[in-house]
Amino acid sequence: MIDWNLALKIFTFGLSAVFGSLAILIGAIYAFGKILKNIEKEGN
Amino acid sequence: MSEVTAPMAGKVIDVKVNVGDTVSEDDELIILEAMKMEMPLVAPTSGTVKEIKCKKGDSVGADDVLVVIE
Amino acid sequence: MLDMVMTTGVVHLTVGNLIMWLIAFFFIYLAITKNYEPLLLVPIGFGILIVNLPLTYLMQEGEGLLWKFYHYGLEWEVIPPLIFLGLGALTDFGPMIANPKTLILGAGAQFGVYVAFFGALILGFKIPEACSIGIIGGADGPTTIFTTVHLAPHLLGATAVAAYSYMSLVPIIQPPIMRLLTTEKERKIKMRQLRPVSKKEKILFPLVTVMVICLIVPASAPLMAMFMLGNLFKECGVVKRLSDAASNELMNIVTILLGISVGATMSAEHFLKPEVILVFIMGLIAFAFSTAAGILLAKFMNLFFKEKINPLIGSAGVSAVPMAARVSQVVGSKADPKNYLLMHAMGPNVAGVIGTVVAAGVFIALAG
Repeated sequence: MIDWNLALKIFTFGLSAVFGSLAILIGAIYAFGKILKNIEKEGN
Repeated sequence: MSEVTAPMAGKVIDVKVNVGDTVSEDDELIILEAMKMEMPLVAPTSGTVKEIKCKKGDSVGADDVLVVIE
Repeated sequence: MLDMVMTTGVVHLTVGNLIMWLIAFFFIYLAITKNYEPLLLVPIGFGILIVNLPLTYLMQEGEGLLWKFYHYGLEWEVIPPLIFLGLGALTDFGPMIANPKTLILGAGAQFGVYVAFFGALILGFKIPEACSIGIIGGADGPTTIFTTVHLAPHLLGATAVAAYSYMSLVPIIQPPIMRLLTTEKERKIKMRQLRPVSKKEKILFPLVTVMVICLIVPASAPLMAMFMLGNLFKECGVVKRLSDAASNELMNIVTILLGISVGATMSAEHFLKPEVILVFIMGLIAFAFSTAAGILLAKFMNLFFKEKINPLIGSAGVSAVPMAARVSQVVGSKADPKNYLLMHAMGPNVAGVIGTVVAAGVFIALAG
């Protein structure tokens, strides 16, 4: 018998992990881009 | 006057026109290779080729001007 | 006399063996004359041929040569992460860093993974098997192998061959779906040239990414860590030797072992089953849905962003790098020869690799 409960859990957790982690990564890329820019400004 | 620039870094593998040639819009001017893919760069407008700033085998960067059309 | 005859392989041949020989010859033929993924199909085809020669015991547990390659290479999870090390050293994340919102497209294109996952469950596959079948939709060979070895090793030959064959069929499978779901006007959307990305950003990227992804989905760490290490080798600029070794010699060596190990799992009694055909069908469905989802997500994003995305780059969210990005370029330039999408499509393309690894990590964590 298929454990549909588990299947649904894999689906929801999986898809949210995919979108969530890539969304956080987008935030991180913007953030370190900004930080680098600021550091370079201070350096000048 | 319009300039044809490289849309991405790559290698010029063929120049299909000469200075003075008349070209019409969408004619192939240059074949650029990037990521093992050959891409024709086409004329943005009709006109005469005024200047060719690259030659076969050149490596070019994004936004480099390759051909000037008048 | 009879005893001596019985020690030869000939009398032990089955019809199944003969069919597998044909499949082996077909793969080698495709590789040599059609140039379809020759680096994989030659060793896979040869592997299939030799495991279907009876009494060679090449896959005998604990003894056979190919069993050792398979066991220490794949079951011990050595080969797929080493391939990722090489891929990392070959991948330029610049286009993605320049336009980070395209990362979301790499996530959207994992949708097909779950469509095939549920499809496989409905067809009667068990949950771990369905995970291995679903991941084919990510279009990532090493990740598919990594997942299948973990969850459903008896399906390895089928899922690996399905993943690699659909990857090489990307230029045939994707364009009709892409044209169906986009209008001529959308296909002509021009995107602004990507900004140049600084070296510092490129060095920080693998460090930040490995932390983010491994903290969220620890089970994806073997692939993710190697992928980002390879990329750090490439971008940091001080270990060119390591970067070259990872992307050339090491990658070539593990590709040999990978190919022959996958081929070795395809003996007649393991491969000639009706479920293998189902694996191929579900894999194709996964692939088609991933393509469609990437495009539809790009169109959805266009509702919110002032700077429009050409939806054709959405389909590049499947991780077949760089085949899927090339397809975006080709379909786009047919609508407008002055439209150059290749670099824009590389963003979702490499994001798709990360997305597929995350999906695989969740599968392994929950279904393993």
